[in-house]
Amino acid sequence: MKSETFSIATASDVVRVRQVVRVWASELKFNIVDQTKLVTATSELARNTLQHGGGGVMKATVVENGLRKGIQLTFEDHGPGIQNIELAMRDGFTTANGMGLGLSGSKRLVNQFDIKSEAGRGTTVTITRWK
Amino acid sequence: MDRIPILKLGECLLVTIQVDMHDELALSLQEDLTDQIARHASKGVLIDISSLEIVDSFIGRMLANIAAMSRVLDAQTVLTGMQPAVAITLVELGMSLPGIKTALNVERGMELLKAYIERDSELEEASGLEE
Amino acid sequence: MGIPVEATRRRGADTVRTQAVLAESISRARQLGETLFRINAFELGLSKWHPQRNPTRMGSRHRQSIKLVVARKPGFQIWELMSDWPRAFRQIAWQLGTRPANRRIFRAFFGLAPFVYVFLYDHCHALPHIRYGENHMSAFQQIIRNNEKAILSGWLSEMSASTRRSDLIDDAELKQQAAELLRLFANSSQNSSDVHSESFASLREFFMEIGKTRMESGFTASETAMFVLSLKQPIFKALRDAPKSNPQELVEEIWMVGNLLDNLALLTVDSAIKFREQTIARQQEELLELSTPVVKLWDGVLALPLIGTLDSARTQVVMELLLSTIVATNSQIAIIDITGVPTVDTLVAQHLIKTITAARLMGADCYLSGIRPAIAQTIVHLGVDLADVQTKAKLSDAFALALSRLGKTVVNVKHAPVSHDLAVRKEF
Repeated sequence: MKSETFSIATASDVVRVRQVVRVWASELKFNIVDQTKLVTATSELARNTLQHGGGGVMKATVVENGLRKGIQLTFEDHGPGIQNIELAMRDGFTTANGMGLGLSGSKRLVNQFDIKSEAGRGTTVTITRWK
Repeated sequence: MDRIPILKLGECLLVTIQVDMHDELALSLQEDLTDQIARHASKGVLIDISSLEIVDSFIGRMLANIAAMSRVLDAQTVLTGMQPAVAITLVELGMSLPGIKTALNVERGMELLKAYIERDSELEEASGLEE
Repeated sequence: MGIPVEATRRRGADTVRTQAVLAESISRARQLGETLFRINAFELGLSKWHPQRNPTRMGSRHRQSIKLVVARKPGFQIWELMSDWPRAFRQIAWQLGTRPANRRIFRAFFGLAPFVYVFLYDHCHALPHIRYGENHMSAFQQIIRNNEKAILSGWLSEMSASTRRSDLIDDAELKQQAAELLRLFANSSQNSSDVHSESFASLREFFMEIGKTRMESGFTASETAMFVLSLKQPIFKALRDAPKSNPQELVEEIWMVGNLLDNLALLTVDSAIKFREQTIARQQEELLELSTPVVKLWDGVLALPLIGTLDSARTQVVMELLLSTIVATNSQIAIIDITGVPTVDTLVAQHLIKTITAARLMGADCYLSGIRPAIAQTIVHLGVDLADVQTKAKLSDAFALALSRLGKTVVNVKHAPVSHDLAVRKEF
């Protein structure tokens, strides 16, 4: 199982992980729309990790489910955490003057979406996109 | 730090975004554009994103901001060349960028801009005549 | 079939010698591959073998030791060693008991009966190669080889008219397949009886092939399975006719062969079903492609006539197709016609709106046409907002609108030829 961890500490890191995920997805021969969706979700979540979480890591793994292949990404930070996950997942809700579509939008772009957060401890978001 | 070049084409400004932008670059583009519009009293801005493979919520917001700011400065904005995969992803993300005019390519974009500019000047003349 | 076990004749005979004799008989049996022993009935001397009178000569508690000494009396009948000893010594007792003079012996024998049967039974099972299953496999293989012709012809006649399907496969080919199968079967069953083991690999492949080709020809799954299962009867017949030492053996063989053939038939059915599923999946894909064409009505105008229901998977395909065609043909207007969409619920409406928004982001406008009154009602009821979407009832209206948007119009040409013939005549 191919797996690698990347640190997200600066704005250029956000660009870097985007490109890494793009490369992985194209290597696995994802179709172009699926690639774009996954990379866009990566961008959203990586930015969240940086801006709200104060920096963190992204762990990328190639996963298999029988014959299907997919990419699983885990974004982890040790920032302030999310107070109200339900609220945060709503379209339009933003705490940083954004569009409020980062979390809810990413969920729509991937097949599996999982979020764990504890106030004061940090946030971990795991997403998976199958081929 | 490299900045995205802005070309002057008569009464219009032409911007071609070809690189994967990081956040700072996007913000500086915003500043530069508004600066240039004011300086040249341009009537139109054409932003070509045919090489942009990723448009996430941040970049989407930036584009919307540019359009809004230009309008305030009395200039029309047209977005051209969005890739199909990007369009599908944006829609899925929940961003429909209302109020932004779009065109298939730079050629059509310029035609559109010219038409708008003409229409606007006609309207101005008309209202001027009334007075 | 069995080897009579000699024993010393006199009473008070030598324990060691009997042991040696027995051991020799057992090894002889091992060489010949015999599984069963027969032992002669023995009469026991009375007084010497009574437990209380001769403690030292008693059989040891240890099952595998042979400490019993027996004497043979002429005239006694031979009996088989049976697997359940109560039955064994019941028979012995009956034998002994029928002779009034032997009653005392009978009583004495009872005390020692367990020892008589136990050690030999254990020896039978302790000898490794004489294990039940393997012995039967090689015997079975022999039977198949010897009776190949008979089994083949029996098999072919066994396949009834309905499963024979002579319209789909001719005699020669069938015979060839059958012979091949029988050969592989005999070879594979040499080493084991597990259908999923290595030795059955070639047979499994053969079955997969048969399953697939038969499905392609038009056999049903059950007909293909019957091909295999009808082999049972002729094999059973061959097994039954072969000489046997024990009815139990026949039952075991039939059970094993039945099991094997059932598993193989299941394999065939499995591969047949898999073939069908693959066909279905392929057809679904083709159907999807066929039912979403994008046509160019004019320079810059595309039409997308949708037929059938719109689910998420199909919408994805439709969206991608439409958008890529827009780019490829440089079209500014796309007309989505939903005359062929039976129902429009919230989900379908959402999908349509997504498609239209995506096209707009790219710089192309979408018109929606073919909206039937019923659908219009549904859309309003659902509260779907089609504010910024241009809608027309008919595709022709939408087309006219598209043309006017592009700055084009349709005019009458003055001298338009009425028919091709006329035009040709005029030239003459």
